[in-house]
Amino acid sequence: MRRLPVYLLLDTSGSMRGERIEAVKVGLQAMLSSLRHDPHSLEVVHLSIITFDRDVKVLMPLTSIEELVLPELETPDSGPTHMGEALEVLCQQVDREVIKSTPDQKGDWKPLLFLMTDGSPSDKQRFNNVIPVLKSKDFATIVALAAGDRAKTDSLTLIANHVVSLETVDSATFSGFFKWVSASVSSGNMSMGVTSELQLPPPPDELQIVI
Amino acid sequence: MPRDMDDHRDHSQSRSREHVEKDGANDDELLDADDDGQDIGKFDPKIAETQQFLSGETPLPDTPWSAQREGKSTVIKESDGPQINRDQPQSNRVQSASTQPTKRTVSDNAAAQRTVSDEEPNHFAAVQQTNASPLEPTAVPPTRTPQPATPPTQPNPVAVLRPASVPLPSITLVLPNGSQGKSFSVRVQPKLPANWQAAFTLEQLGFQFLNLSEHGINAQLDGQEIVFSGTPSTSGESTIEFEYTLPNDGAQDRPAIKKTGTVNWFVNPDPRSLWKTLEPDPSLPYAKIHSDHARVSGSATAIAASVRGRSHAHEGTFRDDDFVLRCDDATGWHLMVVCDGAGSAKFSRRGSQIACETVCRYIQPHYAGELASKAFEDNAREFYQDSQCGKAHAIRTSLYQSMGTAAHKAFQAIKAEAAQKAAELGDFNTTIIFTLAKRFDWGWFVGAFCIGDGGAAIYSNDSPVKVLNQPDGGEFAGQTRFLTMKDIWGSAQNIMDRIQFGVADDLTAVIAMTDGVSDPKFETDNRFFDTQCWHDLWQDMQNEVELTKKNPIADQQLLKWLDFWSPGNHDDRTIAILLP
Repeated sequence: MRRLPVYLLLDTSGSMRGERIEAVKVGLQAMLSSLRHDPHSLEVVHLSIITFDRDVKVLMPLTSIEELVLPELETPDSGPTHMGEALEVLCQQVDREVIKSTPDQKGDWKPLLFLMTDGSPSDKQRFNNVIPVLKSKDFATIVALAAGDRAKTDSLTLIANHVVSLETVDSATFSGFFKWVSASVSSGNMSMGVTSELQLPPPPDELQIVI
Repeated sequence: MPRDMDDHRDHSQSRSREHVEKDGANDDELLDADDDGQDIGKFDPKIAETQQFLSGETPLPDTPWSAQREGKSTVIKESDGPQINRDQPQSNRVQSASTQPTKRTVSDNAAAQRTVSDEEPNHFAAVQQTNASPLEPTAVPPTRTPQPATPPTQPNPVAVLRPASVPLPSITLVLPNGSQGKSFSVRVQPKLPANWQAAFTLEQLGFQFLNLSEHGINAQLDGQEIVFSGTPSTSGESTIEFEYTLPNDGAQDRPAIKKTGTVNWFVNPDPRSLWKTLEPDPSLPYAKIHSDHARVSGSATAIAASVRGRSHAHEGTFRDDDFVLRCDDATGWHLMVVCDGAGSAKFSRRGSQIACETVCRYIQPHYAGELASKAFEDNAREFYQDSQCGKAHAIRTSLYQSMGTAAHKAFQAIKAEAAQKAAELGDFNTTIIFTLAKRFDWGWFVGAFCIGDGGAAIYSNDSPVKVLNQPDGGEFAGQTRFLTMKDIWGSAQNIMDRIQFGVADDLTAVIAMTDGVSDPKFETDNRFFDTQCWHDLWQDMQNEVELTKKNPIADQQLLKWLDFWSPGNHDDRTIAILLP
């Protein structure tokens, strides 16, 4: 069966600790619940969660919605935001996990990437180096969320097809974002053609569109 | 210096610059780290506490305890003396309280002085004082827990305080998701505290579920594992409760305590129950009926069926597939066309329809034209007698002029429609697969023209399948080529490559299908060339469809068969079959 690989890259640096990470958890639960109730997503979506703070962790490799049990998100007290390294790990994971069509196997749908951060990459050199590699991975779309007023969008615009920002960061606004993610994923099942870029549903009002 | 050497030098210089920049980046890291540190100031301890509790890592929050311990240091201070090592052999630890009842007062004092905000420690304190907590009437007195017989040894006065400084151990459990209506059969090993693992079975710990039957499954204990079985009847997230008895763990002043735990369990809904059937917006142009079937008879019978995919019904969009069947009685040619409009193109349902209609119209004159010529018939016969006869190219050229022309007319017709609608050509994207078949006195001739995924083949019960198309898919799913792509029509060779033909003295069927059928039934390109897979498909259809040219309702049965279930495959489905 053709899978739809969806990668979530989540910032878990110290600044996410507390209310913010709790809001992310609530949002993830809501997203999962809505994917579970979309028949196509339930069958084809495979989700992976990679977190980044001072360390990069593949918290969950690509897992079908049917089998998925959300892992625990942890945040360190403080520390840098290794987004560049996270993207490197992501590229390795994509190489390892996403199946391309060959005469003997049916390929996956093009993967989707959603990245959420409330800061900016601390490892800027690594971040800049990984951009061309990331571009070569053939994502159907890359969406980046800049959460809160400390989040910087300039780096994100270098990698993402869509950059959105949240001024207020709480459960309600995060849930809005994750609902949008699940709607995008569900529509991604249907509308991917050869040349056309993935059309995303309109984002909720609380999300400001940067690009 | 040669230019490329220059480049090399530049490159190495830029490398060394990178190093400098990288150091700079590290400075950034430090700055950011500070930033993050400041953010911590905003972090709400209440939430962190809840988070810790929810995380299940500290099964019992020890924060209130340790806070108290600092606050009441005068009482607890003794416990800060020589602590008993948790890993100490049990026999050494067990004796203290039972042999030294007088020391209990210290413990009781300590317990009494705690103003406990957390339920569990509170309960514990109550049990210690009264040995019968009103909150937990089932609490087991300490004597009930079997203890190794050990001779009294030198009492350790500190041992009695040990429970106060060690969080209560607990059992945690993670359960894989179930699926509604599907058998759930798993073996799970709950996480026991490290020092219990070798010592107790779940049964000995009095482990039992409290509300499992509500969830449609049951459990059996097997040593330290639980075997679940059953079939959950409802979907959704629920909480399964369990209880067990904490053994007194060698600390005699602490009685065995009943504890409860919960595990969240998710049961996936049956995907079949989630598909909705919605009608498309009536104001949309190019309405099309959701399913269609046809049966036409000449010297052979052609049947076809086409259904709107579940994914389209769920979204309230139209069927994008289309087909057409024709038997030309005068010349004996049988035409079958199946087209798959691209899901991503907004008028593809019309693109597939135009393709079918146009091919049908423009192939018509050729039946009595060069396809009826003596030269074509001779070439076909010679090819049948000897496939190395050298006539293949001449046959291809005839098909190029007939089938190739008809397909090109379809391309032009769609282009004209797009222009008239002021729409993009890509809005009408469609694949096309069509076959022309005729019975000669020596056997069957079948020609095919294909652009895009799906495919066609000459199927025979007792000889290898002859596939009439080359796979047209890309690296990723959903990538294919369309009749409506300009580059296809740029070179004669490209068009020629899409023409294939075959001859057979006897055949069971000619079959053409869109990828809505070929994806679930063949899965990979290689399997499409595997005769056994075609036998399987044929058998599968025959279970529901009487595949004979005489069966007057074969097309209706075929339509019913098309509704087969295949996870992840819910595209429109169209299949056409020629039955000689």
